Amino acid sequence: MWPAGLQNPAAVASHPCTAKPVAAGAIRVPLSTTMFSEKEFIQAIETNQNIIHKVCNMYLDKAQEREDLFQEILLNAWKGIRNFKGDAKFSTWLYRVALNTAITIYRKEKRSINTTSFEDQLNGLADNEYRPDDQFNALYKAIAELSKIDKALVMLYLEDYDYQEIGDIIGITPNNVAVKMNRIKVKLKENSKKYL
Amino acid sequence: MDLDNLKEELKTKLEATAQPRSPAQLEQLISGRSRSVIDKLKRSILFELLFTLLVILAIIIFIIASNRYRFTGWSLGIIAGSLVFGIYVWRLQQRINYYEINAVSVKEKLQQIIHILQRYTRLYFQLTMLLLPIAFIMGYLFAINEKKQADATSNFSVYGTMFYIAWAIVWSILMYFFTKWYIKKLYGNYLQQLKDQLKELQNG
Repeated sequence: MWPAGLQNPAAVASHPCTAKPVAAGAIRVPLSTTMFSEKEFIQAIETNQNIIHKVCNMYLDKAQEREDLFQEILLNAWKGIRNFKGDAKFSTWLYRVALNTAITIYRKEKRSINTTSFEDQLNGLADNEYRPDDQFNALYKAIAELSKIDKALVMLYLEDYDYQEIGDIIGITPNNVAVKMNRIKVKLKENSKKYL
Repeated sequence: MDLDNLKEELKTKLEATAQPRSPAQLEQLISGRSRSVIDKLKRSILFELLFTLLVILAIIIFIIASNRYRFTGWSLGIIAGSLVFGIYVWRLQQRINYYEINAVSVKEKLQQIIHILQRYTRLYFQLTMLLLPIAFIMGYLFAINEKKQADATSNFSVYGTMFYIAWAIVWSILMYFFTKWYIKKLYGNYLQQLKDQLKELQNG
């Protein structure tokens, strides 16, 4: 609680009216939930939507399924925004919501490792400047074989979160994150050999 | 080549597939309907609450309109049971709403959903099993009452009663297996997936 006459500096700095321009992903949102209108929410999501896309791409192959997951994440974020306290970066909070949704969403059939879909994805994203090499291809396929939990760890690791932050998001200790990450790296190295 | 060597490439490529949405598209998406298991469960609970309310109203109307006060005791029992059930599922609904708005860790989220599903499926199973004998006994008493109203000296034959009991037992056994299968079909596989994920997190 801030004393009378004083305002929480984070709230002042983050208010759409007073906030300075920030890099994508680093946007801060108002601390008071009553200040968070639908417009502000949409604005924050628009700036950070790459997070949701990345999570969708990490977990699902098919365009329609990714579309469904995108909406589900968005709906969960919208429901939860009332309770967002602003004590963390909006991007971190959004990662939390997105990963929770992706991990707990129920799909009857298990994800198949679909080579065509993977190649389509690579071709679609890299028409001009990128040609998928075998190693990248193999690693990507190996990632697709990981469990949902391991994918979440890889996702956060790629985003350069430290082990403490990853542990907070996943709900395990930093030591545990370190152990798991080492195992995942070994597993990826081994599994990607199959595709080379 | 390992994860660290391709880290930047992976990051860029995962992001590059994204088709950015306009504010209008985002607005449209948040006005949509969720298709998650928990949201379906919430809709089921809402339906059950409405149904419970209708049952209570129907019983009250039945007592008043038919003047069959001999069943008042039973009716009040059913109303009391319905109220207990209604309060229980309403509290469960409140709990789901509370869980939904909190962005907790993945582990905690898994624990929450498992807790909700276990509570709901247990309630569903126990209630079905509890309602079966109540329905059979009530049906029997109701039939006797109807028969006696037509002829005061009339009663059910021993064979008739035995047949009814046998039929009730067979039906109960069938319902036991059917309910188990139905709950597993609705939530069992999902619950198992969540438990496996939680186990993976807990095992270090």
